[in-house]
Amino acid sequence: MKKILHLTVFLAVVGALSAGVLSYVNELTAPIIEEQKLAAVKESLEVLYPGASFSELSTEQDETGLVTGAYLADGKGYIYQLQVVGYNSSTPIDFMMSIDLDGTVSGYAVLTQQETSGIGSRVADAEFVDKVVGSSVNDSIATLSGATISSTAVINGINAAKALYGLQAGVEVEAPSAPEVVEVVYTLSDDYSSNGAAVVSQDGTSFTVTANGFPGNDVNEFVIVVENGAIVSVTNTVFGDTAGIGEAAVSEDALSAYAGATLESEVDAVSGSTFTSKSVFAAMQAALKAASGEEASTDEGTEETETTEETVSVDGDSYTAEAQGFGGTVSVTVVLNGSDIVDVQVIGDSETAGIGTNAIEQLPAKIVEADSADVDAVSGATVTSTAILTAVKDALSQAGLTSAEGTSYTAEAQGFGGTVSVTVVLNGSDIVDVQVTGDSETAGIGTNAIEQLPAKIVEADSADVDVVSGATVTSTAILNAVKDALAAAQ
Amino acid sequence: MADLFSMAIAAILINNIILTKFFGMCPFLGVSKKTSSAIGMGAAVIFVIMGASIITYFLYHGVLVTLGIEYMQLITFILVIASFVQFTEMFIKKFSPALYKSLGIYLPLITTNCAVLYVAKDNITQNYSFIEMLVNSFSVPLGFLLVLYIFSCMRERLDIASTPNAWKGNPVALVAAALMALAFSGFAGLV
Amino acid sequence: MNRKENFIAGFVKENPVFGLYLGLCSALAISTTLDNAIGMGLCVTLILTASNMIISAIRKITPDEIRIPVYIVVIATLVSAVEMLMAAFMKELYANLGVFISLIVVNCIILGRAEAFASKNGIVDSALDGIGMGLGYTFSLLLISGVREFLATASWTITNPFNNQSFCTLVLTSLNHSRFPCSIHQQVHF
Repeated sequence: MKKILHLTVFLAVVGALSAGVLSYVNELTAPIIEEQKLAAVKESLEVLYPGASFSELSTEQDETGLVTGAYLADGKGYIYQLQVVGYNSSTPIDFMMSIDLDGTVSGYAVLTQQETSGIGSRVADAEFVDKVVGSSVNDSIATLSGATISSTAVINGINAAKALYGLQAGVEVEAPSAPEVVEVVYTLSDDYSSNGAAVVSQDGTSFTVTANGFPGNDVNEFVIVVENGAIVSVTNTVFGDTAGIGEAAVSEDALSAYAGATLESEVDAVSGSTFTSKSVFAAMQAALKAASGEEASTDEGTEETETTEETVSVDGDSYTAEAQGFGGTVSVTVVLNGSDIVDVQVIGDSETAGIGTNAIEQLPAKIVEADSADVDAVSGATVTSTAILTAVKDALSQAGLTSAEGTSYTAEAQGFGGTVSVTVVLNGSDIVDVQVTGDSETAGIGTNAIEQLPAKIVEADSADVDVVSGATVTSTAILNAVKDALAAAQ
Repeated sequence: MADLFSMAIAAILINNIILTKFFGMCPFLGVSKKTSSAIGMGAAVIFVIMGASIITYFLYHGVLVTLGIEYMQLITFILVIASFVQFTEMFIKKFSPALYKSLGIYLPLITTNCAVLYVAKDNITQNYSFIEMLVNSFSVPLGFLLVLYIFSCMRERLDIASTPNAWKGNPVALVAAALMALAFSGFAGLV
Repeated sequence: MNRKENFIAGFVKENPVFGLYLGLCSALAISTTLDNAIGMGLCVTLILTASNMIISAIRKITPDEIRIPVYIVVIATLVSAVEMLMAAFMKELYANLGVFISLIVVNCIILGRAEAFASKNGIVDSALDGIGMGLGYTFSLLLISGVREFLATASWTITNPFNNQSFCTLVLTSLNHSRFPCSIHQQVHF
């Protein structure tokens, strides 16, 4: 008996001693460890509430599992880190948001996302940020049209954060409904050039049309029957769009809803399959136009407006030039009144929707306003922009105008098929423009060099640029001519 | 259900406790000379790990977290494991004296088996729910048993093969273990 | 004489890893880089020496029946304390070694030496035995990780664990013009 007591007491004493030592060390080190953990996240927290002191909160009360971190900024508000899966299933979207103590969403920042550029990535753009920041915690946020999946995921995350905020701040938050899907109204007379619809064949009243849906996917093919300027039926024969998403837009139900549509009709896109729906609309529009074209009836007011191939009814001389864009050739028509640029029309059917097409939409106006081709490229659409600007400069040189002030020097060099003539315009010692004429250069090879090198030379402000691969002879000729011209300028 | 199944497969084959994670090496080299003792050891380890995991799981979530003394985790866990092994020893001595004899000194040495403490700690750090913890603490020693059994079969053959003197015993066994580990690494990406 | 023999035995004949096959778990899993090996080795040496000394100090008053639990408590306390201190002051090393610091508790070496030596000998002897065994363990870890790090990165790097700055790097580089196909290039920072 005494023995067991002795044993127990000894063990207890040892245990107590060790507990004592450990709790002392714990007190010593726990604050340091806590701070280190916080220091790792502090940088990103400071973005939302600079200078505040932070403490970490538990995310246990979050039922959705989307909240990965919760922090309290003393006296300022709450910060939540969220991770949601959008369109890209292999890389989730990580973002942070802050909610002030008065219930306003004060900050929103996307940390990482690999959504489709120009489409899903819009959840990080100003357009969406402005919707989120400044809204109250009780507001519901609408999804982005054309980026339904990505924006729905993000909004679900935002709602999870708001719910957790309600629990942690002890505030009553209106349970947000499922994100409202914004309905965008489409008409069949809208601009669908980015879908590149083309009538492949025609059999009486039945048209076989191909159109692109989501960028990067294969074409969708439709057989559309048109009578008397209205759609009779639409059948989807080839589906090349995103599996599991786009099919909803080409289901029998969806397509039968378009019966009777004319070029003036409003049509509903199928929510969540916006791109595929638009390819259907583009195909229907092409079929309707082809049908009306052959009937030789002039429809007023239902013709498409922007990317038309007609010359604009503005007074002046028009000059057309082409350049290689991102997906294909970009054709530019410049209308000059004297030496003023009064209009610019751009056709670029193969440019990427939402990216290159932005340049096609925005640059003409800028060029007219600046009355020159010296405008900034549209950010994110550099290739298409450069193509447009190069073509404009070409057109201007056709008209005999150089697009920049300065002294010009001309030199010639032997190209592949014949002489290449280069005119270099210098402003002081800067190369501001380069014009190249080389009629005997091989189309598609040497002509590429003629199209691409001038811009590169101007940008590099020297003749030390790389030759265009595959067009070495022509490129070298151009560069040598530029060097000669520069030498002549000395 | 599918999640639990793939967790089990991962624990047995892909993240095998001996060949991929290198825990539990001592009995791996010590007990694996005979197939029968290997199986007995494996079974004992399954029993100990399951029992110890359940007790430590409740101890941690029920007592340590509630009292806020998480830093006592290591001491309490190891004491629980030591006591549980002691209890298992008495249990085996009573019900299977033959097994008790064949395991010999290695039975109390299960206390110092890295695998036991590792599984107990892993259940906590990975924040497993109760069911996940059960599946994990059953599959991991199952993988241990599997490898131990295969290895003991190999060693029985190695013992009667003619190995150079310098390589006899543990050295050639370690080479064989390395080849086994290489083979098991082929399971990566299975689930 | 005896002490010296004992000390040397810890390195060669009774080398914990190569001779006695104790502590293999951490030896195999940790020894990927020299930094880890040195860090782990020093940890083990420290804990081994300290536990040997403490256990030797209380050996006369410890009742025989509960000696194993008592040893375990002592070792576990030391390991927990070291773990917390490392988490606070040597973040990188702590992150690299991870769960293996806790697993020093079940490292057969420590309990084995406590049982076999420290419970029967004086404090100084036990301390020396601890240092010898610990250094032998570190030595074996260094051998393994030396080979592994060289095979992986063709260099050996030693980093200061307190501020994570590279102490000394030996890199194998190839020189085009030399008679020899490669050389060891040394960079030392202080």
